Amino acid sequence: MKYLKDFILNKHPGQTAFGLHRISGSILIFYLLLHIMLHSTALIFGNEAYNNLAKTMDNPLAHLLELLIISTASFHLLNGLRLILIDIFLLTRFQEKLFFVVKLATAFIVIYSLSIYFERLF
Amino acid sequence: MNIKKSPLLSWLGQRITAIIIAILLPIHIIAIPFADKKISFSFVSERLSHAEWLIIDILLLLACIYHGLNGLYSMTIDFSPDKRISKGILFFLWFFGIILSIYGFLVLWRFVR
Repeated sequence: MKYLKDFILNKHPGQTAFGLHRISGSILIFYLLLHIMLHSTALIFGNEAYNNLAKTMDNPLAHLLELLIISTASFHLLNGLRLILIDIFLLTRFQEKLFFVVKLATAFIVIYSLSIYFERLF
Repeated sequence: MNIKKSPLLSWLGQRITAIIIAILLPIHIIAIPFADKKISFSFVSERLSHAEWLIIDILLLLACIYHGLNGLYSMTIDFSPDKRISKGILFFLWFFGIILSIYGFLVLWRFVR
């Protein structure tokens, strides 16, 4: 709880980006595990089981989760690029503007992915 | 100069794997979920039978595992644990990462014709 309190009290412009980067990173590492486990059905149970699983996963809820993972990954990726840019080109002063660019680009990617996923979701 | 090398290396490793993922993940996403095809064994097998796709997927797998577990480690560092505990966590993460890499490679290899 102490850390959460510190986190809330420390009102730094980069704080939101830091928190979201941590949360999205944690979600993505669990997704990576899930991704490997699901695809390993072919290794463990054979081709038929894999095809059956792929058919089961072809439902709106699974596609919604997929879309959420793509959104999370694109945010994490773009924010990570922002961090690398700040590190290499010493752009600390522009970090807020860069974070705005990250949010804008993430929104764009989410809308684009939604347009692709639209018919799979409904 | 009294700079400890290992945190610097893990910082650098995190950036390098980040750049690898930043290049390969969009390719992965555009080629698979954005392609209007149903996932099946033959679809995945067809793709992974091309050497370039296999190399991309193996690189992406290794980069993601390193990046993810290294990220988890730096999260635990933020809570400033005891040095012994932190060493244990690092050992466990390396062990887990190596096992996961081998398992992931076997999963990919299963699709290669």
